Amino acid sequence: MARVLVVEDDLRLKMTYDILLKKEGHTVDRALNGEEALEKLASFKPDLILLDISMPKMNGMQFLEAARVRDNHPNLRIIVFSNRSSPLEMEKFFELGATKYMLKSSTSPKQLAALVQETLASK
Amino acid sequence: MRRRFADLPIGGKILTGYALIAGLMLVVIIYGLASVAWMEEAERELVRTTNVRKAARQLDVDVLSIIVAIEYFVDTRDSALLDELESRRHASAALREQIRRVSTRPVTLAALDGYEKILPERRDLADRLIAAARTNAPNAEIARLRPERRALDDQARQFLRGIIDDQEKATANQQRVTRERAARVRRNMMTVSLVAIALMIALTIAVTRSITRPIRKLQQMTEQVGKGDFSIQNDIDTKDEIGAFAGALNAMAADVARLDRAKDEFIGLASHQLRTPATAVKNFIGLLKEGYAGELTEEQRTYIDQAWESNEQQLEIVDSLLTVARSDSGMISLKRQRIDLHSLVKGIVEQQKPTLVERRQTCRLYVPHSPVYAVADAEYLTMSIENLLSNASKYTRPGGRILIAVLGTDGSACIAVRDNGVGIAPGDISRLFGKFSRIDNELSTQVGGNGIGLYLARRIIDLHEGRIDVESRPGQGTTFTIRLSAEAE
Repeated sequence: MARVLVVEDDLRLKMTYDILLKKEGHTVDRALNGEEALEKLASFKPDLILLDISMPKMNGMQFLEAARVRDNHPNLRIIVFSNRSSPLEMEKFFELGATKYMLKSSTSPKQLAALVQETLASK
Repeated sequence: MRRRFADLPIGGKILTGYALIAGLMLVVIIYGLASVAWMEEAERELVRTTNVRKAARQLDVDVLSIIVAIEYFVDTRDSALLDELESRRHASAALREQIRRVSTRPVTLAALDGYEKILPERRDLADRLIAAARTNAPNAEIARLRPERRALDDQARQFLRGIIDDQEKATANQQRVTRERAARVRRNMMTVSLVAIALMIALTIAVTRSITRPIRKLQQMTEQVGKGDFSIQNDIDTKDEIGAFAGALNAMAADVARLDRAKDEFIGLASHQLRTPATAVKNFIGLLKEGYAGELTEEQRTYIDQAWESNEQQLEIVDSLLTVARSDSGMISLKRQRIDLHSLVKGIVEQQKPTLVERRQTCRLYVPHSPVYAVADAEYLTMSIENLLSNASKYTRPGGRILIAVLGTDGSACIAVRDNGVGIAPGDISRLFGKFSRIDNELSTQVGGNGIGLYLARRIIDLHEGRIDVESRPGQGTTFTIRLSAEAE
């Protein structure tokens, strides 16, 4: 099983991902924003990050730019998730190193669990 | 200079234009009067010359009469003709006086001098000849005086001839000068008038332009604002009424731009705030529904399923209502760009894949080899295609087939979404795109719809000046077709 970092600013929403991923057998840590995520990136050393787009302090895009995922963490998988974004805007996230994209409001827990497995198996 | 003119109020601009035109007309009038005076001068000169010529001719006639009268008296001793002598002499003196006074020509004056120089001698000879004839002097005396007098008469008449010839020449010359002046005045008046008319037209155009050019600029600006580009500002800074109007328009556009940003921020925030807790509910219900908290009883499962469906509806409604609110208040400003429809549609199908898989529906994508582009707002176009695809899926039975085709023709792009679902009755097609309108069919009770999806899709495509059409056969399936322009306006 893998080490998963959930980066999400809404506490209840974050709790649901935390519960689900732990039940799926992953080791989970949480960050409230991009800044915390940068610290956890060094201390927790995740295999996969669930990254929210709109967050206070440092948003998802800024985090990807700051972490320079593509150069510094070539094996790290990142699932960007948000509640609405046009597919075209997503291209920028993929350029910055995101692996997958999911729409929070149209993904059930089981679908997310499957997506995580699929993403971990890729690369 | 140009700047000062631009700052004049509109009335001032028009008055300046009129003043300049009046000035031009004054120049033309003054030139016309001067030309007439110049021609009159030539005519006066012609009259003077003609008068001198007439006087010279009359003088010649008088002199000839005097000669004839004297010759006749000497020959016949009949004094009938002599009676007029004094009055003739008097008249001829007046004519000489007139010629000297009026003529300025040296040849005439020299001939007149010559004539007058021999006049006393001629007169003396004439008087002596008449006296001789009167006193019946010997013929020898008359015969001596006569040729002397005749020689002088010939000389005198030669002088007169000289004057007449000179005046004939002067008259012909002056006639020519008068004719030439008339022709020149005609020609110059025509040129001056045409130049003045051209200048007046140019002036009128320049003044009119100076007023209409900024107005046209403002018209373009308001059209841009009308199209939703509130960032536009005009650069008119003149101190006239148009400048003031332009300043007010700039302030208004800036205000609208600020409100537009505030609106976007509010809607963004509201949609995030509404959607986040609903998503948390979805996840918690999902954890129960999908067995993460242990097996559920049949009853628990039923309730959870209902809660799940309600939550799904709620999420959809939040999305739709926010968009309807934006479109209804005319607050949607499209951010048009050139979009590759293939990747856009692919992304949409990818997002809906989980639902399609759950319903065991297949979705095939048909795209031509060369890319198809449309000029549209990516986010809103995505929303309307998503609505069509999710409708196709909802109104098609599990295991059904959906086909999305992207086609490009000259200048336009076309996206068709086809299903083999329940179809729509012909009578329902007309109210299909109405707000909150729902159609009854065998699947509608199971489908959580809110009657907003197609209304929104239609609104969005209308905003793009595109078309959305539907073709359906009950029981066999439905095809929705979106047509958009592939080129920027």
